[in-house]
Amino acid sequence: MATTRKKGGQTIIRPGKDLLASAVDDLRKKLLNKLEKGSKELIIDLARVKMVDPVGLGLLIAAHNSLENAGGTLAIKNVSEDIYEIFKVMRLHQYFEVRQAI
Amino acid sequence: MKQDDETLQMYVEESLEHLSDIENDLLGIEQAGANIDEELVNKVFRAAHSIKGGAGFMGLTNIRDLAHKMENVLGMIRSREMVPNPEIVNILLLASDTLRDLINNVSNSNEIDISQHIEALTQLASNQAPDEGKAVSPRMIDISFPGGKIGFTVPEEQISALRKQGKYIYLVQLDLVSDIHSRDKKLLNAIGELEKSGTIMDAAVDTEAVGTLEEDRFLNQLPFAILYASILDDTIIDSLFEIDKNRIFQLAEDMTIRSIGPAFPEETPAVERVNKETTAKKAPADNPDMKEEKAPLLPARMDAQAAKKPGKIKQKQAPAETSLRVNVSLLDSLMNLAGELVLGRNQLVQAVMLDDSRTIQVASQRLNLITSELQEAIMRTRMQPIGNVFNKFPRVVRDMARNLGKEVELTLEGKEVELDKTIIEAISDPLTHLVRNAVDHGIESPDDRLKAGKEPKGKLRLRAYHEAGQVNIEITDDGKGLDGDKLSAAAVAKGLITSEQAAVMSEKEKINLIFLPGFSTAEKVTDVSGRGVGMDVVKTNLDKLGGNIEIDSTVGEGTDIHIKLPLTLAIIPSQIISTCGERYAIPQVNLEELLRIPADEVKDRIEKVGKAQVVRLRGKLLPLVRLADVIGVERTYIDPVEGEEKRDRRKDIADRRSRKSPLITDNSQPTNHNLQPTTPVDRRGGPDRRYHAASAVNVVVVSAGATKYGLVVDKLHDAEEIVVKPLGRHFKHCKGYAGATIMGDGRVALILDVAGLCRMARLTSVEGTARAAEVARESVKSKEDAHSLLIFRNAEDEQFAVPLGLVSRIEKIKKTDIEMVGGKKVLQYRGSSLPLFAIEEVADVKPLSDKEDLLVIVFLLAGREVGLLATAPVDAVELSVHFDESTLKQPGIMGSAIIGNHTTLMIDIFGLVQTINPDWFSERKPIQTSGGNAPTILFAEDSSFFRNQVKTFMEDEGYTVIEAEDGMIAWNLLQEHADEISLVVTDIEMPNLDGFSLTEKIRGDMRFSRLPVIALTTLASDEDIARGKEVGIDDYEIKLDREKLMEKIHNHLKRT
Repeated sequence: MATTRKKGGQTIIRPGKDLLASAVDDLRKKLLNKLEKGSKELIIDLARVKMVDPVGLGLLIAAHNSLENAGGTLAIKNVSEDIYEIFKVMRLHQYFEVRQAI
Repeated sequence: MKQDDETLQMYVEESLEHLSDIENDLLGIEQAGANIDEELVNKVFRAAHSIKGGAGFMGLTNIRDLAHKMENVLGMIRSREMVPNPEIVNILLLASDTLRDLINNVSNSNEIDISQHIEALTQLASNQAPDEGKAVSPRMIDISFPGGKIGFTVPEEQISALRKQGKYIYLVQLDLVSDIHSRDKKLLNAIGELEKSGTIMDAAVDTEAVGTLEEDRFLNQLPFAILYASILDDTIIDSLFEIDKNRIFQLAEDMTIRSIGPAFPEETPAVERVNKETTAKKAPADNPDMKEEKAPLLPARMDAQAAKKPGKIKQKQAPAETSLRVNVSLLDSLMNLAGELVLGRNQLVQAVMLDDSRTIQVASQRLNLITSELQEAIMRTRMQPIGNVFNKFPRVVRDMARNLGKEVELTLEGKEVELDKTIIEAISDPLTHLVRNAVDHGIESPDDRLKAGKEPKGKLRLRAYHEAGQVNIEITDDGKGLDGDKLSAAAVAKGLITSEQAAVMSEKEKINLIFLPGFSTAEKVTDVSGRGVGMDVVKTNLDKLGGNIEIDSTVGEGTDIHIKLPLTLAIIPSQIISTCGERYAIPQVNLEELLRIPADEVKDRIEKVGKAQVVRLRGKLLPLVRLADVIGVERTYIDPVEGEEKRDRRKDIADRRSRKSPLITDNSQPTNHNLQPTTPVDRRGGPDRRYHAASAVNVVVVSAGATKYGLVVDKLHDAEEIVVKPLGRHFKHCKGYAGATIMGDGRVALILDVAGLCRMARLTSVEGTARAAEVARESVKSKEDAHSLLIFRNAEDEQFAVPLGLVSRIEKIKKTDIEMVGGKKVLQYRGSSLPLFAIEEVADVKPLSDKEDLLVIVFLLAGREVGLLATAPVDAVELSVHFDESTLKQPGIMGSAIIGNHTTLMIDIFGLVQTINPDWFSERKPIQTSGGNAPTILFAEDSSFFRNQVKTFMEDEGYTVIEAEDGMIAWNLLQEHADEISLVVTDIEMPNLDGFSLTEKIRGDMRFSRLPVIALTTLASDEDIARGKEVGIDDYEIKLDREKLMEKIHNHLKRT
């Protein structure tokens, strides 16, 4: 289950499990929900995410696109090394605002 | 603008941290060239960026401006508007240096002139601007899918570089959802596979196609395009991606792309011309690639020196670091230990109050334990990786190599090795000096290297590692090496040593001359290494640290500098010794071994060579120094009879007490008698101090650099860890001491400086002296090559020798027994006439002394017996001597040697007899090989005397001789001359490969299976002969019967 909390103007969503096709629906609903509520600064916290699959990646991109259309921003934080590697190869690390896990 | 110090301090520390890696990162960027590692560039960019940000906030305008300009340039590199080349990186490096200086001097930073750097960076940036950027920016190639919206822009250079590696370049359209996800592949694995089989030059996700959250598109597709270089050709590349060939496009030579699938034959409109971008038009058509390197980059070309001047900041001694990073777990363990310590104290206090000795004992044990653990933990907090020092060398080497026009490849090993902080700080300068020296003087220019048959790129290697509780640092280069003779000549010319001293120096000592103060080999003082810091300073600095430096060098091959450093300075393990009642500590670093020479061996093992006293230690000579003499205390001994301290008057170490000493008087001396009535009367059984256990000599074998010597001390005590206290200034003239320590009983013990003592005793390593070399040779020889000689006289005062092996018998005769028959002397002997002759008949020596009693030495030669007249005394000796084969050589005399203090002439018995009776020796028909040449004999013998002797015999007989000094050389020569050699004569006892093994090797080789092998040896026990047979030796001949040997050689050659 994804958890959500607010901090200042930011909304932080932390998916509870790996970003796989099976988990996408739940997160997608949450994100859409936040968008409808007018959140402009969304942060997806991947601290508990060890793996992503193409559909999961697609979700992140789609979220980014949606926010962009709505005039907001999306940041991704606590990205594990493996996932960052994927981002890098796909040149998505420049597309997203990525904050790497420390 | 004022801000509180703490914030500023934090900013400085943080900025310095950012800057710490910037140097190596910039060098990395330079190395990568057009093939930009974005991560690296980003890292440097971020560093500059954060420094700029902070500086702006703090009002440090200079720092802000400089960082800003650097950031601009880096930004251009990142966006590939600029290809980093050495020029650009140089400017960035210089700017980063200045930036560091500014930050180190943060309070004055705004007053420092940095205009030079700002200007250079600005020019760099504007030069690169697209409108004028033709000089540097490479040609960019746009590659896009036929009709597709996704495209990549890459530098042409990168493409050609990859092609040179034999790679094909593909443009691939993937859909991650259908190609990877639906096939149950893991994304990361798939990417890993791609990276294994080639290079992902660029990639892009079609983010537009993904759509938004509201749409379902992203569930079904994730278009991903990559520009991929791989050695796989177009027939199999599709199997890597497991996709349809239609979606793979190849970049052709002419920069057009075409599908590798059959669906798109070449003529299809899908083939699209790739745009050659803007720069292609602008670059001169003929040779655009060359141009970009040569075009003047900057009007004001900066080099290191020019840049240093204007922006110069008074190089204040960089303040020693005031803060230190410590591992948290280490801090925790320190805290624990501190807690333990408190508990221990409580226990002790309580025990003392109760006066309970058992508990006190327990508490002290406990405190002991905690203290050592605490000591260790605290030491560890001071440990820093040597990488802190090493990391600055890539820059140093790069800059120097650039200035000197050399190519140097630097390898660093063991960066993680940890050393005490103080040592790390202190070795930085000496190491830098050594590295600079290596690049400046060691490594040759590329031209010279090519001439010397080396790769143009010099290799410099720094390596740190732990060994035996010490840290070793090696600096190895493959440059031109140090020439010991040149060094010693220079030292003599400078008056640092005398030519006599130079003459007796070993190569290693000559090389070590470089450490003498006032010695600098550079023919001209160069900017790079001639900075007034000589090697002597390096050595002194390392000495101060308790370190050790050694240089090993081979002319033309390179130099190997080896530094040994203690892990920490404060506490060192050492050996406690005492002399004349005072205790001294010798650092374990310098300690090689402890040696106790028992009283009854002293006389045999300690000798005098020239003025030096030496001890034989495992076949080597070790100079001895009596500690008391060097440090100038009066030698004393405790008289065991009177119990008093008395002055020791013995001069040499091996000297024994005089007869007058009360210690060796017999009981006729009344005092002794009265005092000790039980003393046995027999002097030999009595307390003869000469053989008393207390007369054993204790030697501490120490080493200081190349010299190793024995320090003679009175007593050896325990090994202890001592806390080093520096000596006060008033002791600075005492060269023999490195410091002091306080012993457990509260007394002070001085720490000996082994190198200093060596200088005080004016030792040159014994290996250096010619005499020592001779003695050493003798001692080595005695094991390998002893000659058995018969020594006799002819005239009273002339001594002669013949090899004992040739002698059949010795007869005593009266002068009157000699008969003169037909003008020849004969002796009736065993029923026949034995021809007699005297040496003077052939050789120019004094005539036989006119005595009644004479000797006849009977030889068996060429099947006959002959007698040589001689006079007593005769002696058979087995010894190893050096034969001089030239000075006294004459007919009948082979040469001379010193035996028992007499010059002794070696009789050439064959020469003698042959001169007198030439017809005795049957002329053997020289054997010829099928080619009509004289047969060639391979002769292996390690004694040069025998080698020359036997060689002459063989050559006299008309053979060609190839000589070898040992079995190994012989084996190599045999292979070289396999076709020529028709016989092998070999000694048995030889270094490296003995005669048995040589024969084994010969017999093991098909080519030589029939080659005759004759062993020529002094060894000929039945066992040996059996062993020789086993390995395939054809014949044995005892040294040195010329006639028999020649006959055997003759016979064997005839047979083959």
